[in-house]
Amino acid sequence: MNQERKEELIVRWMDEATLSASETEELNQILEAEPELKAMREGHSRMRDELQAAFGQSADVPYGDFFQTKLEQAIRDADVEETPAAKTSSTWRDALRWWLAPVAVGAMAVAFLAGTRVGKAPVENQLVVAQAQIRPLVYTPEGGVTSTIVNADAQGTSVIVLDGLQPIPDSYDLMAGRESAGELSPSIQLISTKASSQVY
Amino acid sequence: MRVLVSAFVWFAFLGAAAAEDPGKESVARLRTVLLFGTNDELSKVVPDVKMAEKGHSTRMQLLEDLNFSCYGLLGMDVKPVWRSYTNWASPMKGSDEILLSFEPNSAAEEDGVKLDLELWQGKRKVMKTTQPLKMGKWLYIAGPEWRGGRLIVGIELLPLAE
Repeated sequence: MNQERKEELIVRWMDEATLSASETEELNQILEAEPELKAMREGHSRMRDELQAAFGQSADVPYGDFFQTKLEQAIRDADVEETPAAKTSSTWRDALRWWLAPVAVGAMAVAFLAGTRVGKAPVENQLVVAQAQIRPLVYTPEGGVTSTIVNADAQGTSVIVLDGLQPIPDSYDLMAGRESAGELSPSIQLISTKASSQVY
Repeated sequence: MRVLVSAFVWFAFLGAAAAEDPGKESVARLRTVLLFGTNDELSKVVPDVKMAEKGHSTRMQLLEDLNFSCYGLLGMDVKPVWRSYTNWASPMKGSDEILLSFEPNSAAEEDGVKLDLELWQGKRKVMKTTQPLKMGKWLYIAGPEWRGGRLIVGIELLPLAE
């Protein structure tokens, strides 16, 4: 069989193209001679399915012409460096380079798109932080002091209950702003304070 | 003579600059009351203190631990809320045992403003919070205990002019 004909059949088969009955018969002869082609085709097919599953919609490849040109140039340079003997022993695997070129470009495009999507992820985190800051917070610098916010009624009254504050001495006269234990009249009853343990 | 004229010009300039300070513009007023809730006879515990308005006791009835039998009004203060400066309320005239500082935390709107509030007891800061206040809605802060009762600071946001 002509080498070019053989390579064409293999590439079309790898790309899951429709083959005629005669072409299928020719291909079967090739596969009998080189059974490892089936495993290679399954690997390529699996990779293609995974890429399609991750990115269902096709997207334009960024700078596709640039990458394609660079790949073609690299392949040409590699061919020039090869010896004539190596050229005579070229097989269908050399032809696969042309088939692998668009796959490589597609993989680069996938990596580029994945990078752009990963870069947008912090937006979700910022939203979570903003929601967490909605609820008012009460900071009590002194140790042992706890606070509770209570919405008392439907009229919009709110109460912040601070428990654990140091009690003001009974002898302290708030109205005068000074100690007045010695000046209190006998009728005034001093009652010692006690800690509150109410939980709302 | 030139020195006097220069000083006058400088003072006039500084006075005009202070008068135009937009941060000192009043955006609302804040009424602060200091209540004393007790289950004893008020006149015996704190003489010469009048009873607080019944509205305060009505609102407190919903809270089991603050539902005292009577509430005395120890003091009241009404101060302007400046646009970007801290102001102080000292409801107890002649005493700085209980003080409240307040400063806007957001742009004032027609129905309210969010305020940074700090409660000071005996020249020590005991609480700091940021609360959205609505016009005519009361916020109470149940503070320290005293003579068997409890001191309660009440805050009400008022419009610029009633």
